[in-house]
Amino acid sequence: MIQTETVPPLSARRAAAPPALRRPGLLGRLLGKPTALISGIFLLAVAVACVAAPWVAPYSSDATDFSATSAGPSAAHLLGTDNLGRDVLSRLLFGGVHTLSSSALAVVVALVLGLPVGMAAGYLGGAWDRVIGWISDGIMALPATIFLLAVLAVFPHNLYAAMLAFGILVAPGLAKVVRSVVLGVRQEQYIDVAKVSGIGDLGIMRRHIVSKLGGAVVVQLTLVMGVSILVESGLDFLGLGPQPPTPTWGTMVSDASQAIHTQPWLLIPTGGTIAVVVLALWFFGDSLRDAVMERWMAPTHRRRATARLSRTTPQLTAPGRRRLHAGDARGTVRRDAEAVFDVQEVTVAFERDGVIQPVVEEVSFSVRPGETVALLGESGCGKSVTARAAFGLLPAGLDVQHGRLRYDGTDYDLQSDTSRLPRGSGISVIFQEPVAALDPTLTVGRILVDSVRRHRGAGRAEAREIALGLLDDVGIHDPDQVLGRYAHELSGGMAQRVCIARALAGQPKVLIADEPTTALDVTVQAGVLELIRERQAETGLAVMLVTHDWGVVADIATQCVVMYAGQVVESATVEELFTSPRHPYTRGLLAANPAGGHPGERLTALPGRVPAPSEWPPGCRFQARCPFATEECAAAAIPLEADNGGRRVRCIRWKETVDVAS
Amino acid sequence: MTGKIILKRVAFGIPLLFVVSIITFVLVALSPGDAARVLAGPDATQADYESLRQQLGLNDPLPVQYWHWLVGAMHGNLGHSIVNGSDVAQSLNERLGVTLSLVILATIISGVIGILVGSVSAHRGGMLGKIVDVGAIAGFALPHFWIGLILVTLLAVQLRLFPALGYVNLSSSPELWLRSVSLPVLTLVIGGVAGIAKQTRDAMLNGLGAEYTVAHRADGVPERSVVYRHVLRNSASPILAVVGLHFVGTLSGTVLVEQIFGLPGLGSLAVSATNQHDIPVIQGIALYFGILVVLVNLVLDLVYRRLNPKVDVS
Repeated sequence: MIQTETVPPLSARRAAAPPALRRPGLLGRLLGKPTALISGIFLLAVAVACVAAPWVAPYSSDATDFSATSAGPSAAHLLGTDNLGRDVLSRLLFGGVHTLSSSALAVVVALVLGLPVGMAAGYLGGAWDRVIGWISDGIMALPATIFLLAVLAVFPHNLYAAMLAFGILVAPGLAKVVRSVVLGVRQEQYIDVAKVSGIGDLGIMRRHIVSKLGGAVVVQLTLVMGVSILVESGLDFLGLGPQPPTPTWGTMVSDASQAIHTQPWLLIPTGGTIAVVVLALWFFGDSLRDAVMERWMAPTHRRRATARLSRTTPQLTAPGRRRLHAGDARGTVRRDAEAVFDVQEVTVAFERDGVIQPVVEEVSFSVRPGETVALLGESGCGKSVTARAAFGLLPAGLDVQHGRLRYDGTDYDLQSDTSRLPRGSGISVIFQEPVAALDPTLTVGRILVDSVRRHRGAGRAEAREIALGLLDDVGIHDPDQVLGRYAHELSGGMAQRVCIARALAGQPKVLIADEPTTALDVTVQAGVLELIRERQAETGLAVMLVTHDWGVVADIATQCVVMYAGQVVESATVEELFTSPRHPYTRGLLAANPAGGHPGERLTALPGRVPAPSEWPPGCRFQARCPFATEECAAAAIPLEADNGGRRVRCIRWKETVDVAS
Repeated sequence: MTGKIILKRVAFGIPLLFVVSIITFVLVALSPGDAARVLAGPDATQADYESLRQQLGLNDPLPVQYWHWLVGAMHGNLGHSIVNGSDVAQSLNERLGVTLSLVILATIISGVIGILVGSVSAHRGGMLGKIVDVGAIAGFALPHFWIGLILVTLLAVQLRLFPALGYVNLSSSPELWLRSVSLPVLTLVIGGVAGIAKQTRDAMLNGLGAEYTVAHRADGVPERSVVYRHVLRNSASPILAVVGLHFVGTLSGTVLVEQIFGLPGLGSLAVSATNQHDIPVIQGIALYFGILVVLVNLVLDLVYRRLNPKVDVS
């Protein structure tokens, strides 16, 4: 019956964190929540009324009124009377003292044992941590009630002894929570600083850790109190607690159970009281947890966000010394061919507080058979979102506002029609994290065979043969063996080859590759790109490539679409882009490419960062980082203009600035 | 592989059983009275009492007493009841069937319904999700014995659909057996099913946002298959963990439920043994409960191993 609630992962509550500048204290946050306020006041009132029962109760606990036995609620007896005519409300108030105090004992015991043990486990770590973890797992695996019965067999009717034992049994659960908080705090840098500056271990614990623990511990204790009340009243109900006529909540339910044939009403106020008090504790604990989270999240949210930003904002780099080789395997592009994949004016947005905020605006591009179109830009420009919108699988919260896709002669409305898209059979996708993209519970064989059967309608044996062939095609030398492996048994490069094999299982005409080499070792990146190019040469596959890496672009792309702050700012062939970039952003990106630099020269970094969607200025979105920005650039939205050759650029000053730069 | 898991579970379970039995022994040592005093009765002479102590081995040091109990337990001998002298192992075995009927049925039913409701609410969300949330809070806060009493009042006393009390053996009449365990099992299920549903939903929502799920969808796997085959299978670990915890809670719950419904199982025996200070019986029941927990965790491990190859067996 031990139920422990652990604090949910931070991410689950992150959304609740307001971007407040001035952070109110925990109490302030708590008082601002109606649930916390109501449940807190209710609990306080119950506790005070029970303690003050001799003064506030309308009758004494054993005063009998034979004129009104087994009566329902009335003005004289608000909650009715029992079979002896005793006032139910008064007995609940008198009985509450016993129930609440013995439950509180369990809470105190759990605190006294669990807090220091959990702190020791979290702070000392190592063997201590393991032993404590083992003990707590062991105790949680046991039915607590039988131990409590053993205690009561030895100390008859002594519920304080039983609840003391219960406190010991739940202490490991509390210790576990404390441990995880301490562990988290310990990894913060300032603890190391404190250590270096010579504050003793105990001093560090007291000053830094204890202050952070408060909230988490109190949350856990409200839950322990709730469970304790349930357990205590259960034992009372069984007649193992104080003997009649002493009232407790549990014995009152037991009395009510004797009268279910004559007076079922009695069950409602007695058991109902227990239920309402435990519910109030739960709600109080829940809002307290929210308040604690908000308090923590306010500073850490920002820190985490920046950490994530710097992790996923890769430098624009070119691995190795790859240079632009114009027209190698790219000779397969048929210039006159119709586009097989034509994305038209896609706008993606999210909604917050009733405001629709676009993150990608009016993006259009097309890919012809055998062609590779690279979607290029820094992180946060909307490349991946555009790609996901194009195959209709946006992450939750993002929606296509409008946009169309023409695939192989058929039109799809990306806002409403995405379920009709020929996913896997016409349009396939490979992802940035190939290992994560493979279901960890399925073998490579299951994944590939299922895919082949789904798209080609083959039988099991035939599908297996095809799967073997696909693995062979993607350069896996022991396909038989690999078919039996799971994702976690594959290296990143191998997993990406498997993903490509899966993507090709449905003989698609379009492959969307979302940063397909970013997560791979530099040594295997070239191999994977070579593989894509090879498959493309053989099948005339149209590839849409999302990347931030000029090296990858130079290696396999034929067309480039440069995105900035949710818009296309330039599109051109790769040759044109490398030799005569027009948009200042494209030029900045190229200049920041270390592979394009020369020894002894300073690398030109692109100053500033991509503005978040909420910070987009009305005029040119690049103006804040652009060396050529004028007042005119800020005045109005800049149109995307196409020249006769089909090159597009979104800059009103590109002609003059190209001259200046060259 | 399977053998390894069994070994690991047993290696974890045996110390657990030791802990259970040692705790109960230490409790006895703390006890102010002793079994000899109870058995001898109030009229016994001091000499009678002393010889009874000698006979019961109560003069030996505690570790020696524990050793004797342990050797006996290994041979299936859990001693004799202080109250009526009956063989503990034998009376426990007679009552085991009742308790097993309850906990196995309750765990399977709440497991199946909880996982079903949880995964559907993860898929569809909306109203069902809110019901799961409310149900989980209610399952936590409402005293289970109270739920049982309300069910008796409504379904047995008012509507007379089920018997309010008593137990019929499965072997003597399956139909009457089912009717006799229905309300107790329903009580246990109501207490835990929403908790399992909530855990299932939370685990599935995690899985629905995972990269492999996007990859399945991108490969044209039908949504139904994505949710109920792939994501569900990947969520097995937290779901089975909560089913295991729920089983432990159900075992505790039988103590109350058997008492309410007058079922002759281990739980109601534990209550009467507590009232009569019958320590050997309590020790025996604690041991049986411990063994059941170890066995159920073993079964859950094996199920999990079948579902997820990545589980660590080292």
